Amino acid sequence: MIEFANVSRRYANGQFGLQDINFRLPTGRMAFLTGHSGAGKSTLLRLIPALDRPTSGKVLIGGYDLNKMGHHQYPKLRRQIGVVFQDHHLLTDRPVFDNVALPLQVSGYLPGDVRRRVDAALDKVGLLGRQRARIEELSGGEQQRVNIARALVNRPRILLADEPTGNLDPDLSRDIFDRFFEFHAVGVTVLIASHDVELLKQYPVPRIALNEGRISAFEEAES
Amino acid sequence: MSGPAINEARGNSEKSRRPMAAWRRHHRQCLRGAFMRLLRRPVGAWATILVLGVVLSLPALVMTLGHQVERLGAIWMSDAARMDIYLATDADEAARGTLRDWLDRQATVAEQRVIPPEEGLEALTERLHIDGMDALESNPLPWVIELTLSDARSDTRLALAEGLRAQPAVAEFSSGDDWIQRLEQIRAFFDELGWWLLLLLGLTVVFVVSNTLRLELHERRREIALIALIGGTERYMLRPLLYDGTLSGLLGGVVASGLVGVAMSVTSGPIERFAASYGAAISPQIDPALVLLLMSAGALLGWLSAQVIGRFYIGRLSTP
Repeated sequence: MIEFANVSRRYANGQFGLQDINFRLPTGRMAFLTGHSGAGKSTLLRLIPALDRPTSGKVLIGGYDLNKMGHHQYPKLRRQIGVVFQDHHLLTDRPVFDNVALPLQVSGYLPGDVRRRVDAALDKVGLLGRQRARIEELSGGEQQRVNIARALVNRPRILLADEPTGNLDPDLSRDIFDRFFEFHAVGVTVLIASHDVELLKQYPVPRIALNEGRISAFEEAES
Repeated sequence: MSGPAINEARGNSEKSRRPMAAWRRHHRQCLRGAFMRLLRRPVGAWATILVLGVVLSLPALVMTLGHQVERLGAIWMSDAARMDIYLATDADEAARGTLRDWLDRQATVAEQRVIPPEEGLEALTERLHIDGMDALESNPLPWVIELTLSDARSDTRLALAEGLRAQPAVAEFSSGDDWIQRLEQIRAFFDELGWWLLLLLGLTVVFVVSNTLRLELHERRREIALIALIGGTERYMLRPLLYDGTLSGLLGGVVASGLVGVAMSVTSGPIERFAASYGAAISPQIDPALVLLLMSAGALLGWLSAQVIGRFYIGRLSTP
């Protein structure tokens, strides 16, 4: 469960990135975070894996208040959260396999388990057989799928995605969203930030609309 | 950390994790990686190692110089481990006996030889080539006891001198230890200078290595930020850097040992000739303990540099 209680994030220049955010996303549910560029979507997502701290208010993950968490506890929290970025964050000097294997190596898995899980994750995103390919050899869509495989390989309970289809064509975008939907179907809590209104309309998922750092609307899923 | 989401999530994934095996494996990877990075950037990495070698060799050379002074000093000191005691004119045989007994009990006295006034006069006459000494009404020379000491350290002499002053039969004794003290002071000065230089230049090493590692960290900042995001601990992120720093420091120590070795072989001729003029044979060679010290100091300073810069930089990249 992800819960925001009166969360605000104010920057050093005095401007608010987020203001008085309140919402609750129960375990296993999926939601979209919508809004224009600069509305505060990325700022909100960064608070969940403790990449940033709120200036005031509470962020609770699984009922646990992140404000009370020490620095040494962040790794354990972050291992439970898969994050997909718009700009991939892939290591271009390493092949696909190494990129996807990274979360498992960091968590202390043995090589045999790493291989098995990486293959399974790549299979899910349709890239089985491309383990040895270098990142530069892949198309934008393939790179984004590697990104998704890396976010999922550790079987996280929560999946966050920040504009995951930003640079992709509509067909590929839909394909990526379909995969997120599949993960949600197996019990993963999913929160996706996107401004692609047309694409989001195709999915019966509740939407949290942000505008200038505030929640402007909370729309239940349309069926 | 507790919390339902976090605990729920572990489940069966916990069974296939082997933290200790993974830890060992990561150490092996980091060590291999440190060597690979060294080979990948030979000029930059070896330039740092060479600088470390030169910096570390300076205190080592000073210490070596101190060591040579000590060795030369030891040759002189073998002559200096003597002391002459001049007895009071009124010291009779019983008093002399008491003094000799007391000297026998002193652990610092290895040997004692009694020189009666007649023998002293004879030796003096012979040494100064003076005739007519027989005409003297009485022998003006006192009884002398010539001591051989167990060692020539100034504190040994001082302790004995203190005891001698309390002996009524003793009129005077040759202290003659000023130059020994001076020699000891010189040796101690070189030693202390070496340690201070090691400390000061050690700080330089920390700056040099830290700067090189900072560049390395800057290049790897995306990777570090990513590892932090996917749950890498600070130790995990720091580990490759610790291997880089330790390896550079260790190799810097090896280079420093080599430089000291070269300096010693260059100066060996003059030192050998100097020692020969005192009838001693010294062939200067690098002390294995110094090599060990240089390598350990290099490795320790490299590791310390990595800790300092790594914790600062990684902390900034991985925490809000």
